[in-house]
Amino acid sequence: MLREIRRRTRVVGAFPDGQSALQPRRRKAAPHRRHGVVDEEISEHRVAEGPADERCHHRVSQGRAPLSQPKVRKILDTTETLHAARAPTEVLVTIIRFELTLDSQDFILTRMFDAIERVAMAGAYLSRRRVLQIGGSTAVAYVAGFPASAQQVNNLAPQPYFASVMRAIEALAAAGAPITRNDADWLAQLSAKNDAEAIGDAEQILSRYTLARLTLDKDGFGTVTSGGADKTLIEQGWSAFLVRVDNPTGLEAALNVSGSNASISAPSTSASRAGLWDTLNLAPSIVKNWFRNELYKQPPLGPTLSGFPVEYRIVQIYSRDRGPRDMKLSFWTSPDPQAEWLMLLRHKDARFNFDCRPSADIPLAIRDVDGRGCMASLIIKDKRDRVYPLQAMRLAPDMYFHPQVYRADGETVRLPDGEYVVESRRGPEYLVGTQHLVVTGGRGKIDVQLKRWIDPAKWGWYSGDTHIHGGGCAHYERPTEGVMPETMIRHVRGEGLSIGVVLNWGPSWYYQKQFFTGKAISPPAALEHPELQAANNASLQPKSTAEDAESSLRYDVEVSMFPSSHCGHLVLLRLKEQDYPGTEIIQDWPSWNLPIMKWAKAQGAVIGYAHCGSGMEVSTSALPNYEIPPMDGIGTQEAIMDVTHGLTDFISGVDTLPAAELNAWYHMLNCGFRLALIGETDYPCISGERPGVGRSYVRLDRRPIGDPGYNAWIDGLAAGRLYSGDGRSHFLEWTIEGLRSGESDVSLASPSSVTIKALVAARLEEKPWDSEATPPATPHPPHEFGWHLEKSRIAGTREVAVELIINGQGVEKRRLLADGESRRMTFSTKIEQSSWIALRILLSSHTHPVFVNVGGKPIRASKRSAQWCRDCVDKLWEVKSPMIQESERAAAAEAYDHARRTYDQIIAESEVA
Amino acid sequence: MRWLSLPLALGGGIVFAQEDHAHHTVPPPDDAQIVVTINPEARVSAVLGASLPSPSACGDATELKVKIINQGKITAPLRARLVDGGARIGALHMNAEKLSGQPEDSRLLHLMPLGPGPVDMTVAFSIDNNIGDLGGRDRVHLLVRCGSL
Repeated sequence: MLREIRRRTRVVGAFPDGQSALQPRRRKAAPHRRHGVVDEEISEHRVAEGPADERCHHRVSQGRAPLSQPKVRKILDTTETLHAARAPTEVLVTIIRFELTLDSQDFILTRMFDAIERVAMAGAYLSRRRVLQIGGSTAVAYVAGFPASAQQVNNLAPQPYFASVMRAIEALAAAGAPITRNDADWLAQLSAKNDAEAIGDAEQILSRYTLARLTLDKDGFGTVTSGGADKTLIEQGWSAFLVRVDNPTGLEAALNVSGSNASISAPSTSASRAGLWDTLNLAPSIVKNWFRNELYKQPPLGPTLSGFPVEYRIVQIYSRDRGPRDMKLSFWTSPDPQAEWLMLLRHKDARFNFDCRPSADIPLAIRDVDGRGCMASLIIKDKRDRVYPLQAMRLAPDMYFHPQVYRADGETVRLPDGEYVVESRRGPEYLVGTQHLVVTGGRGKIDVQLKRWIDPAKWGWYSGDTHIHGGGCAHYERPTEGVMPETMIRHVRGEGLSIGVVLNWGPSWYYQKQFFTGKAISPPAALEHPELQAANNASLQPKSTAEDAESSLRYDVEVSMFPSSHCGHLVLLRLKEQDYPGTEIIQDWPSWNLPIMKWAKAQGAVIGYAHCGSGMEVSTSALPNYEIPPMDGIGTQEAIMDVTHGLTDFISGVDTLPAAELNAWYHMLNCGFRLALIGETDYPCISGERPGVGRSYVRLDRRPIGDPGYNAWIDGLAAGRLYSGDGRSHFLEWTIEGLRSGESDVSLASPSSVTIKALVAARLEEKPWDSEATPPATPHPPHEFGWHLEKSRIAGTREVAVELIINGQGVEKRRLLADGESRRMTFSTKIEQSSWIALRILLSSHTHPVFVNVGGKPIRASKRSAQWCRDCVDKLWEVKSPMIQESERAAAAEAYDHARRTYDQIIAESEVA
Repeated sequence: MRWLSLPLALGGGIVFAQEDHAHHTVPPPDDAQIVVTINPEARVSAVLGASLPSPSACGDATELKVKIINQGKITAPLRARLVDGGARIGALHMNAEKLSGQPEDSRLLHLMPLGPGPVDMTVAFSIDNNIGDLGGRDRVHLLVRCGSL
């Protein structure tokens, strides 16, 4: 080491006491930008040096104006005078920074000499003896594992320094990592002392809590070295540390840290492609991304640096794993979007070795109303409202776009010691449960006893969501293209759904189609991709429950991102074959819907349209209205033509604008067509909240189990034994002249009065959702689109309106107290002509119609409705025909002509305007 | 492999967004150095906005523009004061006239360090007889100096 020192230094002069003054051997480099006007030999390697440059930088940065040449020279002249005045005594090194790493000793020596050089070039004349003292002490400090001691922090104004420090200490406590009482008291005393010596002492204290020491250059890129904090993290938990920020140029920008934005998964690009299955093993990359960093930006610190030369910020680190782990850490304020990459290229990061203390698997007991074990949805948060497990770290079966996890009775969730609030849910028929959990010494238990406010199954109603996806939209595309049945079934069970139809569609089509079997399945409790689970340090052991068989999946098809999608997205339920004949890839499929519908119908499928309100929005939400929609979306669209060919069993809604959904349905019903409106979610595209945001309730004699149960459910849906909605209101019974929907028509020989009887229930919280006093039944506010009972609330009350609908017109309205209790209602009305009758709670639920036949005539309820449909056919052709392939256009034109003729006939037959 | 860890941005807020007080969603004003928000319950919070102006000469006060977003339609006076020992190192003045009750209002706040600085001053805002917002959000911290360059 001594030989190296001699090699790297040269004598440039001597003090009166005979000591040599040294300067490192460096070439003349380009002037520093801020010293462009100054004639001075400088090193291009220095960052911030000595008193003169610090003062210069401070004035420039704080004043935001360049120094004039005379003032710079005055500063330097002053410095020289200062040094001369201090001779013959040695000038102490002002700031020494060393980068402690576990790399080679040569690296350490290089850094040490760089630091000495910086000090020397700043004008602090050093004797060779002094240099050796510095080098030796540094080596000792390194060996002792002690962070580099800040010998002196020159020229820091004490008051702002201590003001900043005290705020950082306060923030550290708020982050859950307070300093010791003794240290806090000592710092308070030093703050009161408020001088340079106190700063030095404070630095000693703070170093014990400092993970990293950061020096920012003028461009906002930081060089990181290790601080003196004990490098311990908590598995599946957060730890907070100080970061000492050396900010010589007074930057006031927001500070960023590496590892805060990356995710172990990548979401879908929605790009459909023919290709090979992804065989790349991504487990190693998942293993590598074991941590997350966050900078504390809440008061009293705020998001931006203060501009003071030295301040302390807080970094919070989450560890997924336990045991010894290492990470690289870098910071920057640069607005350059490639800043994080540039940190790596410039080797300005530093490596840190941590010991991650283990957390514990907390057991779960989850019981349904009848005491049987089941799956439920849990949201677990700590006192700082952080969700556990961390969403950014989730792989299936836990989704990164959910705050909730789905867990079954007997399973576990890993939590570190701490206090938590656990919210339990199981779909809209259940009440939200809340409990407080304290984990101490790795011990704790979550005990959930679910409670319902209603069980529609008691009246024979079983819920299903006919539009959920296992890939695409919010699902990640990496490490796998969406998720597998083992994961989807957990979500369906956890939301209390009997049926979940997983629709394969354009995104991830070629990967997800492997799960199509042509039958309903109820997968056993299992986790997908065990190797990825292991890489992600997952310890969940799936458990079966007594209720598992009561939920089933059925893989089918949504014709979306196919050539015909512009005509509206088809939903094909109960397919036997999923590939259109003669096709190899998606692009081979027909460019309009009718051929696909014929093919599906031929194999016994039940077919319809998804998100029916899309492209059907008009300027009014009145029902019914007669504005012709733009037909520029992916909703009902071609259905208006297809229904004339007997090929539209349903349109799906509850997830788009209600008026846009209902208006077309009402008009087609008025023309005598008998199609259903069913409830769907389009999860996780229109909503990623959960499956079952929109639902269909189908009336069955028994609970649907397995494939036979699924078939019975689909048959019931097609027959119209259903009501649809958000699950927060229910038409448990309803009859017209004793007949229920899906049964035979009510036959009247002549216009007569009919009696409608209903048993209806709904539940709203006592206060509106946005009231701070109300814990929400859902963690998400009512969607801007879509149905939600909260939107049905009569202002200032806990009531909603139940409406009697005849031929699309609301003819009578009753108020229902939405307290969860079921109440009977009776309506009586005169039917003048063949009609359809339904009940609805607008924006929450709608029954399927009962059809009333008067005098044996078909329903021709409204000439205006028929004209609307007729005009829509023309509009559809205008908008859609250019996108139908040339080879198919003639057949399409013929089909459209058929629709025109059909509606013309209906118009002629309609007696009512 | 590190390439693989970079995400496509998909509503990163789904994952990382935390509920912030209302004022954090207000975009920085064009020229107001401090933005004060009075919520419907008359709780006052403050954030820094535009960059501070160049320091004034010692002995002269630095003028800061304060934008007030008055969600509560409050007409009481908005007051500002130095806290955390700020009175020993600086002086502050802001006209404490009553608010107009309009959705937006403005004030000029004058700060002067009692020495050449730099000094760290904490300015807290309040409505008469009302406590400030929770979590220390009723105040801003300013690094202030004087001296022409």
